[in-house]
Amino acid sequence: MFDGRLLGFSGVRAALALCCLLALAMAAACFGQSAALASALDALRAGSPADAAALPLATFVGCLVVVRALGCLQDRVADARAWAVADELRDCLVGKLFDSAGRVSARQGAGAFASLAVEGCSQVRTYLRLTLPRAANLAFQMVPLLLCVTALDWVSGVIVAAVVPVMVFYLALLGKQAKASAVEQLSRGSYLSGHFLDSVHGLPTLVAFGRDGEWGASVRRASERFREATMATLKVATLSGAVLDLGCTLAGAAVAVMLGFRLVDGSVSFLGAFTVLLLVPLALAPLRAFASDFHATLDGRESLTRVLELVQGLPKEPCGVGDGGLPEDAESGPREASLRGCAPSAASAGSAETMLRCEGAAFSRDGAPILSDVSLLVPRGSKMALVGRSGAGKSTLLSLMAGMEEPCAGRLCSPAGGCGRLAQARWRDRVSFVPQNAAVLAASIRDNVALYRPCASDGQVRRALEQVGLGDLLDGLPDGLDTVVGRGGRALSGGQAQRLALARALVDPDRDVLFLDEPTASVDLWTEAEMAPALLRAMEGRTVVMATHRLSWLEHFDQVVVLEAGRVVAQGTPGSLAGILGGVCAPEGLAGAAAEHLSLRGALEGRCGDGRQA
Amino acid sequence: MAGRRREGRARWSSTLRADRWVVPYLGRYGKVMLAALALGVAGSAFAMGLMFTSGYLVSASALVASIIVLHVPLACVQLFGVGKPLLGYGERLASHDWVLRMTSSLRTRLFGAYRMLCRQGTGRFDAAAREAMGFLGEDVAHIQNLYLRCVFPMVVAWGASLVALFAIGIVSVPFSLLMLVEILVTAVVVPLWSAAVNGARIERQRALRRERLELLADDASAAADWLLSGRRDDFLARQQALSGQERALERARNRFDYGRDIAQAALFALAVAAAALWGAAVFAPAGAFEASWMCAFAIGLMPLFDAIALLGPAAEEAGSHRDAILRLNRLAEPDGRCGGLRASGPSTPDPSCPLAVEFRDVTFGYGDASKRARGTAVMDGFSLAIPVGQKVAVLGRSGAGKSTLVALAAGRLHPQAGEVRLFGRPASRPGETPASELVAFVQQDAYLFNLTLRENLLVGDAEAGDEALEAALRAVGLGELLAAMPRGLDTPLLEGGIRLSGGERTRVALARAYLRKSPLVLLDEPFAALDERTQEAVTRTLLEAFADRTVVVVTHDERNLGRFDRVLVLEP
Repeated sequence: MFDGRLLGFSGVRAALALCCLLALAMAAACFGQSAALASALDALRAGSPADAAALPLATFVGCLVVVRALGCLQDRVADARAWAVADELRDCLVGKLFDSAGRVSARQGAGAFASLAVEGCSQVRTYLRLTLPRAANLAFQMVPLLLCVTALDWVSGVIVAAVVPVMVFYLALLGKQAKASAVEQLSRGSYLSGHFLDSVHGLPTLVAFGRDGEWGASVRRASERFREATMATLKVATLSGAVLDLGCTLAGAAVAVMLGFRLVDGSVSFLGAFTVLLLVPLALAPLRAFASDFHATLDGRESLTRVLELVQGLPKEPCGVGDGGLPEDAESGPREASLRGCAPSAASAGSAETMLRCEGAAFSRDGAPILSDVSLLVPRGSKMALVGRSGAGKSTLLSLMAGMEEPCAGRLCSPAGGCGRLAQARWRDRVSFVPQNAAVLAASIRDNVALYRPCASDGQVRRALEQVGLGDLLDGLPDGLDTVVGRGGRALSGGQAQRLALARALVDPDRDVLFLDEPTASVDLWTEAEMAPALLRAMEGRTVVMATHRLSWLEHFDQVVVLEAGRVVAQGTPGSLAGILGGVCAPEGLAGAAAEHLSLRGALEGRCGDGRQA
Repeated sequence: MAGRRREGRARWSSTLRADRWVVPYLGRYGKVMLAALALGVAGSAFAMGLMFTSGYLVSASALVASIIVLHVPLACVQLFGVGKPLLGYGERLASHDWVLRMTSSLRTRLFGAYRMLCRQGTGRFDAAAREAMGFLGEDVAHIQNLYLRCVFPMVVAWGASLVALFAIGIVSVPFSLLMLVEILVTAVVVPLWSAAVNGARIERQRALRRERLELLADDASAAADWLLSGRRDDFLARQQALSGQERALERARNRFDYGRDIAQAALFALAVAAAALWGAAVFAPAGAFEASWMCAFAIGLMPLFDAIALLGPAAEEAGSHRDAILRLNRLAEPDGRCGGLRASGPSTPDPSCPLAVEFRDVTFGYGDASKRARGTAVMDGFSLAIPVGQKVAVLGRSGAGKSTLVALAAGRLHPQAGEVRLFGRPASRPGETPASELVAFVQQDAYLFNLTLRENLLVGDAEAGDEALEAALRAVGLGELLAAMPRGLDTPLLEGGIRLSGGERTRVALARAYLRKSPLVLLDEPFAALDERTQEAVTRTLLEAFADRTVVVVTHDERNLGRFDRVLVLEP
């Protein structure tokens, strides 16, 4: 009945104990309230003047207010704890998101992750806020009140006590059933109300095929089917509530009838009997509250499971079978000596300074090997291009090199930072990364550009924007650097977003290693041509590794690495690899097709009459 | 405080005055609604009756020699005890049935409104409807909740109050009026006050929640950049700040609720005490047995107060549904009836014309023609001829007019000057959005419905038999997929774990166009979301499957241009 996982959170036990104490106090006040009203009525029906009833009536009002106030206090205690727990869980999730560079959200998508971290944690909060007082009241309000009832009149005690286990049993049984049918109905409901949304989203397609008219009728039919299905499940699902109501109400009625019999034969007094009559609904109230909130807590329970899964999950992927990566224990043993070359002290050895060294790195995702045994040397200031078909592992290799993921075997070393996990964080301070689709933060342009260097001055930010060719855009904005971009703000085109990401890299001179993952893949040819100078400028003076499939870019690089199925198959200067590259890279721009350039304004072509064109 | 309350009330009244989506439905299905309300009021009356007769029974049986004398109250206790839960059950079913019937009509009407928007041109549909579309499912649920959790309990509580006041009025009109004041305060004034004070907080809280969601979704997609920045604390703080605001709002809300609940509890307790004293004054002088009525009246009102206590929170919640009503009302409902639109446009080609598509001096621009300067037109005196059977790729930078070109050719837009002809026939007539049988139009990320494979394919041709469907699937290279599907054509596309890859989705869209058998196939960036290898494979399939038709494809994929007969680069 009580979810043990909740007790694992800090402070929940203390809050529960406090709720229990308050529940006990509420039970006392409930008894006082009932007894006071019964004695006031006892006095009044005996014909006593109103003055005689004033004190008990005042006590009744006072006790009732106290019960309410204690309930509020209980809620406050539970609410404060629930917020703390929800905040803790959310920080955990968001921290996880940060540490994993967003991979934790990759499986279900950013939107679903956000909804779990925001709505899910809020549902856990509601769950905790409801469960703590409800559970406490069940044990420490209902039970003492039932004992009071039994002490005053054992027959009533027996009646109510007989109802409680039956009710609990029913609740467990029907709760399970209602849960099953609620889940079924929910899935059906989301399917059918989904059908409506589905239809609206698909309207352009329906209109294109001229099928939208008939579809309207199907929306109506589906909606009606949904109503019938829902009603059928509701008949069962609300039954548990109805049975509980029936049990509680009948218990009250039975107590009233039995009290009548026992009063007639004089085995109870009016005062005791009336107190019992008033106490029975109060005693059963926690049970009703627990039942009515039961469904409301199902969501929270489910969310808690999913949040905990994410918080505890995401273990490091082992290398898939059959890859040629180094064994996991490569970090110890005799290799250690040879790897000491990565340490800063030994880095000066050799004239061509090494920026990054990749030694037998391997990587797997979902058990499938993506990279195996990749060994590369990136000299300081070099420009290295990664080429290969899609799926060859270019993006994964880049994110390994940028320190955003860890290899499952082998290691990456930088002379400045050393090797291994701790070195990653230091390495990341020197790295900037421009992906295929750069993310735009929902923030001002200034904050977007100064992401890596929050202390950057306006002048620096402005200069970086001008260098990537966004100076004109900035000049056209009335709010300048304060213009909010991203979702909810000003929309940026794909090319503008890519250039914004480049500006991010430029604003921080300490970041002298630049990784580019096909930065122009998501923009059209024209935009790519506009972006090229900005890209080349960003590459100046930096060590660059860029994944690309364009031959034209290769002339700006001094090294080319060809990847195939996660392995390095060739490496050399662009000239030396010219023979292979044609097969891997795309032909240039519109070459390969005889393109006609048409102006939409004023172009003249053949008419139907004068026949064959082109 | 008073200002805020006034503002809250004013906003609600203006919202409801302008409403076309909630109020008109109140009266629809009136019988079911009345039944539900009657059951609700009867249930509350039975609850009061149970307490009332129990009080009388207990009080009276202390004074009688035999319980037989009290057979009427005994029977009433049993009747009310059994009847109240049954009525409650009936009320729940009836009210849900009513609300579901109503939302059923609401959905149908919404679909019609969207359909009209969509027919009136792609641009308008995008602009007006996209925003509301994200909220649509939620909004319908909001309106259901508004009825079930706010409007309904309120009306039932008021009805039950009338029953109680009437019962008291039989004995004493002045006391009935006193209780009327009590009920007016607790069941009308307090809920309105709550809605005014806390409704705004709830709305603000919802907005904050949405802001948090969007911010986090954004940050999740930018998480790699954040990791490189090393600013972990700043990253966490972005959520913490908004969450802190939300918490402060909820604190304020709770403080109000606590105060209100305690004050209301005091009012109820005082009402019970007043009833006891009034009952003593009226009945006690007639003797102890008559005084049993006093006990009955003193506790009979308790269930009513329990029901009224729930109205405050219900009224607060109403505020959170207001957004939904406003959004639905913002949705422009076009004039005219949905049924009035017919598929039209040319249906048979002119066999003597060798051109599939022909633009003759076409001028076209979006927006109002009178306000538009001549220079801003997308097309001005544009001409183009595409012979039958040609495979054409259309390129151009974004904004060059590629989609406009295709929409004009499909007859979905009508030129302001000049003429667009399909197979020698006019492609469109002014003021109509025809779906010509000569054209199959595949849009950017063509939509797959959450239905079976068969139903998805039938969008292309409603009359197609299984053999035709299977042939179409084979033609677009989905023969193997069909064989792998557990329930063949009846396999749901997006449920049951069968997820289609991007390439497969595009192929299903191609299969639809294939089924349509139209001689011209227009595709607007069908490959935008595919990776390069898939783009190549799907392009090959496209050109093979439609070898005997005229194909015009808008594309960004410059790698496969060599496969087309002709490449057009649009320059604005």
